[in-house]
Amino acid sequence: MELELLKEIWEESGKKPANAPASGDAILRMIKKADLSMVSGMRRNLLIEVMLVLICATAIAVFYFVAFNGQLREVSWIYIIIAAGFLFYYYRKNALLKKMQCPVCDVRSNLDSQLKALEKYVRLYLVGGTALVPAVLAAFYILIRYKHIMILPFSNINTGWGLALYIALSAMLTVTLFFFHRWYIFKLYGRHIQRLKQMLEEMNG
Amino acid sequence: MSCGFLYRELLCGSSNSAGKANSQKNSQPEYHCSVNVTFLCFGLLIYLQHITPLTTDNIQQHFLETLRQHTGILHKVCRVYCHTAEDRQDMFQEMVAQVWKAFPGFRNEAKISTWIYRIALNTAISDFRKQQRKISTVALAAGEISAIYSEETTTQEERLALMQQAIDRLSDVEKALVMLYLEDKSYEEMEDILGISQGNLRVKMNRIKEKLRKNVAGYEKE
Repeated sequence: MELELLKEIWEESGKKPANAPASGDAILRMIKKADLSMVSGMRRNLLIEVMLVLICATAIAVFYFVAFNGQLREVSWIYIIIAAGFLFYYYRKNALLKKMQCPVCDVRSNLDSQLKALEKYVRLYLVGGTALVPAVLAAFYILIRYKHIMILPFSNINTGWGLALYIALSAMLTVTLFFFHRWYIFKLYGRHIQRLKQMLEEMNG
Repeated sequence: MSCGFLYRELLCGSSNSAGKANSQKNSQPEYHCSVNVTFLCFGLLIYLQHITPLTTDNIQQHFLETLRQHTGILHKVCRVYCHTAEDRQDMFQEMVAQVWKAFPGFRNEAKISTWIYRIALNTAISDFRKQQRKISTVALAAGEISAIYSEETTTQEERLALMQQAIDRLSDVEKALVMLYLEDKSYEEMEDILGISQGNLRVKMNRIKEKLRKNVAGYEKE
């Protein structure tokens, strides 16, 4: 079969009823439906995540402002600071997700910008997720140290050994979570990044 | 002349005339002023209420008309990249949504068909979910394929399935190139759509043609 025959078949297929234009109403219904693209889905999920974090952080902050006669209002401030950090983190993520879509660009530049944005997104995810652990543990330490909160009856981290143990455990937890995050992120986006790289190599080569 | 004065002049007439009116009729200039402002705001509101739906309607009509002329492009891209009717429907909807979102930004800098090809191919190629989409594994047996070739009464559906199988063996980028080749697009237009230089495109097209010939010849021998 010659390639000209392929062209012939292609032309024939274009005349099939399946290729007939859809009705105006059907098209209008389609554009009113939620965007099915993956990036739009990710942005919707991100919004839900922001809402949840804000609701939880606000509830906890309000609780500690009111409860215990306001003696633990520092906890509220810590949660407010963490929520502010999260807001910045989500803002950056959203900005990167926006950059990932340029449907009107040529295919190669679109793939290129998508790959760059996705790599930055993944790095932010990994760094943000990992940095959160020591930040929270440091905040807890400050609370325990200065507000004299005992998590466990024998957990005295004010002494040299207690502090060393706390730092060692925090470091171990941070490293473990770093590897967990790396594995999880690769599971989520690794294959797609590889695929984008392959396609770009193929286009450039 | 200060801006405040100009504003007063425009809305309430001159301050002198307002003063005269004030002394003559004992009326309040602020009242006239607020009447004028209210009148202007009201007029603006009516204008906006009328103009906004009209503009949206016009854009919608223009969009529908454009899409009606070029729906074939979207269907063809869907057929090349998707294997089930459900996937094709999803992808078609996604492409329509992307065209609609980008439509107000179209500035006639490129041909509308080139612009739609870009959107359609970008949507199809960079789709995350495609990894999860199941590629048709119902390949025709070698005997069936040779039967398709030998019979002169080959139906259109069978010929189409055969072409689909030959294209399925190509990578996503190669599929885009083949599709544009089958659509008789010039190298210049291909470059506009794909962003690959014309020299590179020529080399790639030769390789792909060879690959397609081999794919098809493989079926014929079997």
